[in-house]
Amino acid sequence: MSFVSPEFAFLCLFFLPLYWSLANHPAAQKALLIVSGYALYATWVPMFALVLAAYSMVIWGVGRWMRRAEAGRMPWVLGLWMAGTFLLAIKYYEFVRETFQAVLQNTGFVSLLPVLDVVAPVGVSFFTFQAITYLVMVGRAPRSARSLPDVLLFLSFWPTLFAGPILRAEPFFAQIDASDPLKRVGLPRQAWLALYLITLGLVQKVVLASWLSAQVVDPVYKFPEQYASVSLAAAMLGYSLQIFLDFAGYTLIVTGLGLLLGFSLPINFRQPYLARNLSDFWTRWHVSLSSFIRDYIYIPMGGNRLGWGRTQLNVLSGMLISGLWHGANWTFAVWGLLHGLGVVALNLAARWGMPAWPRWAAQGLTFLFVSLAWVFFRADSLPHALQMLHGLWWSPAGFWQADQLPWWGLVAIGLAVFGLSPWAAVWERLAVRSLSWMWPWLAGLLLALCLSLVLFYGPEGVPNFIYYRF
Amino acid sequence: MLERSSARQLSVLLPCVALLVSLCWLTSLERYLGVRYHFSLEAALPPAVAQVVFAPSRWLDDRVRAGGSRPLFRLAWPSANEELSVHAPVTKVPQPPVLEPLPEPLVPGQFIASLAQQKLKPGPQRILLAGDSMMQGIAPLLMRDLARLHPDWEVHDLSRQSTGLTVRRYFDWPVRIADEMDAKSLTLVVIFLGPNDPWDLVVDGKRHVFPSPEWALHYAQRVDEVLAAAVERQVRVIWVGLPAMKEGRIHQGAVLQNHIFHARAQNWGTDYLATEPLIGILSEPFRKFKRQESGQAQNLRAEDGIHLTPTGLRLIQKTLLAHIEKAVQP
Repeated sequence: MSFVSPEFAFLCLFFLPLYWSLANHPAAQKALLIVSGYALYATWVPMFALVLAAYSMVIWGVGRWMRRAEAGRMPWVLGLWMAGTFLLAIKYYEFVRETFQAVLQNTGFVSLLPVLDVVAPVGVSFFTFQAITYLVMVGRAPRSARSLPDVLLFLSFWPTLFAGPILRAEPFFAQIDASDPLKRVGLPRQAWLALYLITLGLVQKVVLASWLSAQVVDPVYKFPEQYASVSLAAAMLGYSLQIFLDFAGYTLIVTGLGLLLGFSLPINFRQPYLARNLSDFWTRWHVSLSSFIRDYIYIPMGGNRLGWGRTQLNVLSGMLISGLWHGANWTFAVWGLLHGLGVVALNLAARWGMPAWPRWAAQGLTFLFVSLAWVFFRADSLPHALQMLHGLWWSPAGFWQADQLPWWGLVAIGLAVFGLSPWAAVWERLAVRSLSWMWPWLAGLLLALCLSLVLFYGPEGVPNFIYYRF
Repeated sequence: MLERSSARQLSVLLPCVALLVSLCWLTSLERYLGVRYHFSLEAALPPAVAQVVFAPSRWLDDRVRAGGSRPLFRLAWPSANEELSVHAPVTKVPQPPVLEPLPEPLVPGQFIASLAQQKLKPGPQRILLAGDSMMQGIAPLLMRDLARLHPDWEVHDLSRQSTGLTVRRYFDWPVRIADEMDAKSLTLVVIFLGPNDPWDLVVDGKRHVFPSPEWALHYAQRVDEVLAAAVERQVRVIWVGLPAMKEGRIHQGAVLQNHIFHARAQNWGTDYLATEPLIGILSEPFRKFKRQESGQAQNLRAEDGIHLTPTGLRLIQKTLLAHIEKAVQP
């Protein structure tokens, strides 16, 4: 069930008051949250809920074993190996099998890898990474191993279950354990901020990202040969805006939902298109993933402690893993590698003493690079991506055709994103302060009006989130 | 705001907001429930209550939101006395569908074979690709190949996900296809749809349960609306049959739908293209993978057991392209 579906909104009307009413009974409230997470997960495929439950119990069991073994590394290594193998087997095996088969096709050899007919559960990449943060936490401090309900809740916490942000074990459990009544979970936290974030997220996702997808991006990516070079460039710009509005919109919605449940979720976006270089971009885009890769992959590989050359290799490896994390496809591998090579090129330039660029030029160049790399992320295959990029240089439809795309809409959304991004925090404070000063009925009316506008300008049906498939 | 009071406030505020928005958008919600759950709130409520509850949304539909329901295309059966066009591909008067028992299951390994009954007139073609998400996968591949092979042909893609013939209020395929035939002077319509359809069908306020002989009769009538409109306009139709499906209801639907598609295409002298031998036969257990002649397994199906992988899509696209190319040859 999608977070932007009428069914979800309807269920929330019953669930949230019930949840809040149990604020003085933390155990019951926790049980309700776990049950609701599994119920929501089962609405996709019931079997997935069983897989998640079994997976969570294994992770909990390994945690208990680590606690008992204290300093022993065996359970820790085994737990991490199991978590990693589960993700690799379920998400990447078929990709490896098909690639192997394709490579052997022309050699006369036959691939002996058997067919493995399994379906990857929704959000498997997200809960696997969360499980790793738990195992690492217990590995560092075995006494921090949690009870079964805590582990079940951590891995099935429904606001982040399907597409993140990726939670880390320590801050999550710190919120559950908080004794300060003002920091305790279970009651709405900053309710007006939560409603503002949910509304803004709906506008970003349902209205803007959906419009860009339907009017600009999808038609061009579907039939690139029919579009002029400028239209192809516009579609690339459109996709840069779409994926930001889609994923950042999603993150705003789940952050708002988290606040309504009394949880603070990690920040996932910090106006990424204002980044001045690629390293800066990765401290602003999908922060929960990039910081996970930094802390759990890049630094353990040696980070920047083993010399300049090894640092660049670690950067490339981290970025490649980041790319492949999104899916078993060469397009994601190339996307990750491009970002890695970009960071390495910048490191090289810095080593050679390249002077800093003016802010506008650095931001523009970074955005251009990121947008071109998104072509690989969006395309169905490498030839498709190369066809899009080649079309920039020469397209059968010519260089420019004025009536191919709704330019005004694209320009308006582009200006809104770039114009408002620097002031996002100010807008947020202003909106929340205004809402909290209003009479509640007036705020409710305003909210209803905003939701009506979202429905009016949104597409028919329930739009999909791009990151649901990762 | 203190948490305790905000919880109380929100427990009142949120339902009020939801109620207000729902009342303003009830006609939309009704359409959504129809498509998704094949349920009509309006039909479930007493008429007087429904009129009151739906009034604000209808008022907004008329005054603010563009809309109002379009008149549905009604099937006009050609009678035996009417003269058929000399170019019409049918040589006999098509017969309307009749109420009959549901077809018997086929022996494992058997499937409903393709029908190739039409030739396309020589010259540039104007083709419409219509259907649900099944067609959404095929359309870009087919359009790309047709554009490469026949730069003077026009190909339009009208495929829309979550659509079908069962729920007309959401997207009315018979009407849309007839409109497109007139607007674009089409010469060929290719239709590939079905997995959204195995649900109860409501006709003139009466519900026909899936699967039942009544359901099959009314579904066949909807197929006939498309085919009759095409034959009247001398537009050729290729109806693409459904391949094996994993999930029970959709599998059961595909078996019945293929019978109907095939029978109605035969009746109207149009084409039916079977995908079962390419992707998977409905009378056999569902398989995601198909073994090639080289012995290697190819994954043809998406994880939902309904849609196709790029390999599966390419198989259908190649067969469809060959079918169209053959129809153009004198």
